[in-house]
Amino acid sequence: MLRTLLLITALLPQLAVGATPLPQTLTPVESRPMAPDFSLQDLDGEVHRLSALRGRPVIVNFWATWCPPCREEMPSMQRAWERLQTEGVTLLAVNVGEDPDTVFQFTGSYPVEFPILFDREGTVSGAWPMLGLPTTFVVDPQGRIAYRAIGGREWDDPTLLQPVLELRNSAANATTPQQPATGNLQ
Amino acid sequence: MIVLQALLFSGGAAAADVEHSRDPATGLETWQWQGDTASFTFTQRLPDQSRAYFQGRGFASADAEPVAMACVFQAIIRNRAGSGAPIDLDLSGWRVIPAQGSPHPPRLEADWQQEWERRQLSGPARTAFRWSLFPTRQTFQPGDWNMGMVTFGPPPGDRFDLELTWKRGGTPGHVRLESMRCAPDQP
Repeated sequence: MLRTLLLITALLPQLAVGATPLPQTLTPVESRPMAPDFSLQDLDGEVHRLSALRGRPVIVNFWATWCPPCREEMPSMQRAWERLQTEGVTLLAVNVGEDPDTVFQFTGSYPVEFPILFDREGTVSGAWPMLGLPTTFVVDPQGRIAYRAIGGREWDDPTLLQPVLELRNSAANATTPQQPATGNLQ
Repeated sequence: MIVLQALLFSGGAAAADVEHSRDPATGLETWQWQGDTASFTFTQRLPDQSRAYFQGRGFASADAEPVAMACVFQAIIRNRAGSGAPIDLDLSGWRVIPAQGSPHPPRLEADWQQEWERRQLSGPARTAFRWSLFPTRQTFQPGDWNMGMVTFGPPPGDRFDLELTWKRGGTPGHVRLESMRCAPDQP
């Protein structure tokens, strides 16, 4: 009886939801399609054009304030940004379908310093190969989609950022641009 | 608070645990199945939650009502593996098995969009709806996960079983969540 009780006690933590640390991964996009270009305004009205950022890796995060995992990953994204902006990597967070007032209120609770861009009609997000929020892409210095992450991540995890930083080395190895990404990359 | 139900895993390789819990603050119930490489979590949404959510995103009251009454759950689905094969999901293959009536798939986004077309819903409202619902088909690479609403269809308060199917590296997976319950309209 006592052995049974001890066995149950030992197993209980493994039954707990989420007890096992979940993997932190970026999925390589082997075909490296060209990232669909966009020009979008940020909260201050400044226009950001993706193709103007060639020569450096760019993390493009699609999100919305009502999306719980999007909110959850914002603080770690800010911490990642604090490191990345001095490492030659750009981070753009594209808000899908909301207005600046909503996002401005949101940033009162989740202060971030990286650019938040507005895709109010969903036309830009509709052109990228994604199905849910949040989805984050890593664009290489040649403007191609190199990695993708579906769902939230802890973005300040060094193991997650390492492949992004390594993309800087490929800036000098530009190859012929591929066709723009459409549909599903999976 | 938490009730563990060891339910028989039909069609799979072994027995599996379905965890059923109730949030003491909200009363909302959650069902979760977790395997070595995948997990599925479904939490009830009150009809009033869905009414408020969609009315806040451009839906007229009359347009939000059919969604609110469609047994909305918040779903979280993960590929828990650190490496290996992707998980392919197709919600059209899932089956809602009500206590009375015929098994049917969840009501899917394409079907709703036809209704929004008929009701001439605004573009931003449709965009909000599109991103709020769990995608009908999606592939989850190791570490990927997604959260979204699924509309199962039975009336508020009704019970049903849910048959989930997926493929991992082409190999089918299958689990049945028994006696799930749509959130009541008046808790």
